[in-house]
Amino acid sequence: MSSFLKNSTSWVLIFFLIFLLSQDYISWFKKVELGWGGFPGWMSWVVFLQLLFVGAMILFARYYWKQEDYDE
Amino acid sequence: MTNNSMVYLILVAYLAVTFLTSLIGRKAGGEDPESYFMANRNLNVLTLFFTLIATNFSAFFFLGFAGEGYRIGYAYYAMMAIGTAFAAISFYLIGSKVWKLGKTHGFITPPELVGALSGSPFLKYTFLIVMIAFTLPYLSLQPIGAGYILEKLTGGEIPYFTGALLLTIFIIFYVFYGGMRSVANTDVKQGILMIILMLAALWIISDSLGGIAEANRRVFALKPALFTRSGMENYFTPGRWFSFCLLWIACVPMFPQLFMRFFIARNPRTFRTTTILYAFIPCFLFILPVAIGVLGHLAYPDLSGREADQILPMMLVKYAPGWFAALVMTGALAAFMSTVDSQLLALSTMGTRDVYMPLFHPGAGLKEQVWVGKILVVIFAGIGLWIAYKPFATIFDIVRMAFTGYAALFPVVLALLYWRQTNATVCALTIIIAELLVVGFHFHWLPEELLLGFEPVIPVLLLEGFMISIGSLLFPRSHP
Repeated sequence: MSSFLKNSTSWVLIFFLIFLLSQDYISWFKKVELGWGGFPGWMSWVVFLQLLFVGAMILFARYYWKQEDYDE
Repeated sequence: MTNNSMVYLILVAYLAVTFLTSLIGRKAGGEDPESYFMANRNLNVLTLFFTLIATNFSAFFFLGFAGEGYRIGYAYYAMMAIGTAFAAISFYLIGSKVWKLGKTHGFITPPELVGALSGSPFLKYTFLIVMIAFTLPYLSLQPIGAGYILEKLTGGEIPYFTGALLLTIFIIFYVFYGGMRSVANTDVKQGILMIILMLAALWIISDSLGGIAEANRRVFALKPALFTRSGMENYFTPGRWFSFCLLWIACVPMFPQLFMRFFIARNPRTFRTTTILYAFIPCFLFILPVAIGVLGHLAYPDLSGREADQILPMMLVKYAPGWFAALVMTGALAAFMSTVDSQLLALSTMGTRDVYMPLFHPGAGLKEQVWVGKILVVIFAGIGLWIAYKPFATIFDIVRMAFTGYAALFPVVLALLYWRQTNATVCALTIIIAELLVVGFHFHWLPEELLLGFEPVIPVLLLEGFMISIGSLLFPRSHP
C-alpha cells in the first residue's frame, strides 16, 4: 500500500478519478429533491467529493509530496 | 444612537484595529526588500493559510458569490467549491517548485523567476505585462465592492465612489507603512473575521425567514431552477462546468499576489499543510454567500444585471439589526482590503524589481527599492480606483475575463518548471496569441461558435499546450 501511495502514476490516477467524478453529468438530468436544511439533495455528493479530495491530498502530502523535501 | 452612528463607530473601530496590526507588522520587519516584500520568507502555517485565503477570497467572494447565487443558484456553489479545492493540485505542481527556487536563488517576483528559468528578457517582460494588465481590473473589483457596501450601509450618506476612494486611501496608508509582514498579519484577522461574520450573516438572515430549511423550501417553490445542478436557465452546461473546473486550477496560482506567497512559506511542511487547509475551506465557506444570494429571491425577486451584485448588503440591511449589518459589512470590507493590499504589494514589487531596477536604476539600494515600491502602491491604487469609477461589467464578468487572462500564463510556468528544452520565444509568442484570444472572446470580436460550448479557457489552454510542445520540440532551448 505504501509503495502504491509513493508512486506518481497512482496519484495521477487518483486525482484524475476524483476530477472525473466531479464531472457528474448524470445528476444534471435527475429530478431535484431537497435534502438537509432544504438544500438540493445533490449537494451532499458535492460535499462528499470535496472531502474525498481533501482526504486524498492528506495522503498525497504524507506519502508522496514529502519525499521531495530531500530532492535536489 | 442612530443606525448610521453605529455603522460609523464599528467602521472606525475596525480600521483602527487594522492599522494597529500593521504597526505591529512594521515593528517585526526591517527596512529591506526581503523583509518589506517577502516577510523574510518565514510565515508559519496559520499566517500563510489566512493570508492565502484572505488574499484570494475577495469582493468577488462576498458580493460576486452572492450575486451569482442569486442569478444562477446553488450550482454556483458546487462549481466554485470544487474548482477552488482542485487548485490545491496546482499549488503542488507550481508552488512547491517555486518555493524551492525562491529559497535557493532569492527570487521575489514571478517575472524574475520566469526570466531566470527561461533566460529570456522578452518572455520575462511579456509575462510581467500580462500579470499587471489582468491584475488591474481584478484590483478594481475591491473598490467597487467597498463602494457598493458603504453606500448601502449608510443609506447613501457615503456615495459609491466616495466609499471606494476612502477605503483605497486607507489601504494605501497601511501597505505603504508596513509591507508584506503587515499585510500578512492583517490578513489573519481579516480572514477570521470574514469566516465568522459570514456564518453569522447566513444564520441571522435565514432565521428571519423562518430558518434555513423553511427559507430554502419557499425559494424552491418560487424558483425551482435555482436548485438544479445546471442552475438557472441551464447556465452550467457540461462544457461550461468542465471549463470552470479547469479555469480555477490554472488561474489561481497565477494571481501575482498568490504566486508571491509561494515564496514566503517557512518550510516545505508549512506549505503542504497550508495547501491541505486551502483545499478544505471552500467546502463549507462558499455555501454561505451563495445561500444568501439564493434566499435573496424571497425579498427581491426581480433584480437584474449588476443590481444582483448588491444582494448581500440588501439582505443584511433588510433582515439584520443595524449594528449586525454594519459588522458583517465590515467583514466584507476586510475581505476587499485583504485582497487589494496584497495585489498592490505584488504590483509594486514587480514594478520595482522588474521595471525600475533593471531599466532605470540597476544599482538601486535597498532603501530606494522600498521607497519606489511605496510610490508604485499609490500609482496602482489610483489606476484601480479609476477603473472602479464606472464598472464596465458585473463583478463575475470582470473576474471571468481577468482569470482567463491569468490562466493563459499557467502552461508557460508549468513548462518552464518541468521541461528543460522549453523554448522561451515560443512561450512569449504563445502568451501573446492566447491573451489576444482571451480579449477577443470577452469583447465578442471572435464568434462564440468557435468555443464549441466551452469557456475561452479551454481553447486557450489547448492551443498553448500545442504551441509550446511543438515549438519546443522543433526548436529546443540549448543549455550551456
